[in-house]
Amino acid sequence: MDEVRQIVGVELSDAEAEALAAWYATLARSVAAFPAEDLKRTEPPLRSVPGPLG
Amino acid sequence: MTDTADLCYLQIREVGPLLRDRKASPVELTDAYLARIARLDPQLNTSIRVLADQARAAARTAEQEIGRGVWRGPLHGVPIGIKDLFDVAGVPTTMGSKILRDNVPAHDATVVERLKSAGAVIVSKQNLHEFAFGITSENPHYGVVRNPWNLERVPGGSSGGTAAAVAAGLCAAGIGSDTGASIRAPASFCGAVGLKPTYGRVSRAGALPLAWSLDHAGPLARSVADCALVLQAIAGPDPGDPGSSAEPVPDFAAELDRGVAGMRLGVPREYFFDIVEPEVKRLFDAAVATLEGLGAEVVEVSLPHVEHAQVAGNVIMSSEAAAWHATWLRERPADYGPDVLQRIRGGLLLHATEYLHSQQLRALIQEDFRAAFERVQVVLSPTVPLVAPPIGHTLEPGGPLNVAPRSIANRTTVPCNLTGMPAISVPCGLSQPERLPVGLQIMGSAFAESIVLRVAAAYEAATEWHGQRPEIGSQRSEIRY
Repeated sequence: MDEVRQIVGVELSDAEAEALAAWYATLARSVAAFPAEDLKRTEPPLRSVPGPLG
Repeated sequence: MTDTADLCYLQIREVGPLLRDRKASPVELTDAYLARIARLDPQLNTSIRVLADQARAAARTAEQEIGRGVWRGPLHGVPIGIKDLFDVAGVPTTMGSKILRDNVPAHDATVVERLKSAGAVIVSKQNLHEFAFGITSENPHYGVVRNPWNLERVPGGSSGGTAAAVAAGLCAAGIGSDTGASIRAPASFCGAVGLKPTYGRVSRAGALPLAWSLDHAGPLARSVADCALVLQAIAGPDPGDPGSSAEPVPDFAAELDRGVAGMRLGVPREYFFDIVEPEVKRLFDAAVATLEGLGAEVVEVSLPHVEHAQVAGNVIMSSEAAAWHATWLRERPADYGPDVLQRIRGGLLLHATEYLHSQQLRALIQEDFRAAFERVQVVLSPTVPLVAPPIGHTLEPGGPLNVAPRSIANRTTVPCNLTGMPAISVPCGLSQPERLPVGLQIMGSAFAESIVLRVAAAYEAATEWHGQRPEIGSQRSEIRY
């Protein structure tokens, strides 16, 4: 919880810090489930490019 | 034309020629909308600010111009609503927030400038989910927007005020923004037509951002043809928007009547039907059958990475939003509503690697759609997996699926924010027994708005759903939660 408070940089209640930590943990677990081999071969579009072209 | 409700429910394609031929008056039309807003908006709360004086002045100008034979086109003298995150010079742009309550821009957003050039009458700045970051439009600062089909249901969001106003006949059309669902979900919940164009097709200059790489501006209206007319007025390159495209702007109405006979339409094999209310699935299946009956061939397509779209979209959205809000998150946290504060603050915790993995996922989903569009011209899905949930019950599990509505509301729309592809929501029926609208989503390849509009127009012409009007204030909700 201290790490969450440090990153957010403002005073948080225990409930607020726990809710944020849980929110992050859920999302981080889901990102960790992305297909690793597919990510390895893919460059991220660091500016948005509309596509695919029809 | 004695019934003002009938006047206010005319489509732009119907009222435009009447205005042009001086069979209807821009001043009378604007007064009719303003009277309807005064009568119904105390219940619906679609507007943060009604621009009555400016609208009447613009209507008088339109009437004088048309009287002199100067007709600017099909929007001339037509009242349009604007989501309150687009700048209208001299009028506060609040973005539905307390923080920006007194933010008065000096210039019009490009979309507003183009609408005014087309002769449109800007009638209201419309309510939204705070900072456009949510799908309910339960706004803690400007009040809850109510769904005209059932006042105890949310209208969707974040362009909830715009969709509710269009559906209730409080403007002829509106301009919304869509970062994960925000044009299409409220269009689905309110029984309106909502088009998220291709990324870059419509300028966002003068619109406050939620997430730069996902934000789109686009029209909501009561018919597909009206969406095409509004898109025609606002589309095109703009040096004021770094994401703007130089792609030529076609005549979006040119292919509306070509039908779908001989077209091949895709239905996704994965993800889109894993979580969907039975009534939504029933109406979607009926819509697909209608399109088949019109001569289209429907085939299954595979989009293997799209199951991760919602996570990738949420990571990118929260990260980019946290970057834009960083100063206020430190200095004014008490001025945010709790749900929005949680999601924007969450973006501070996300790691750069998670943002980049989500961007990589975005490229993989584009590849999936590219492969699909080698076989089909559009991909179909329900716009939202559920009907409009009850106000105050969107964070807790409930409904036929026993899930929190907010957790699933953007799962079928956000793929097109990641890819930048155009997608439209067109009404495809009313759920039973609640009689709440359901939307059919039609997704096309980049800059293929004309194809998307063509399929939507064919479906609309074969059904009666778009002509249905809510009986505002006459119903009570049967809350199933």
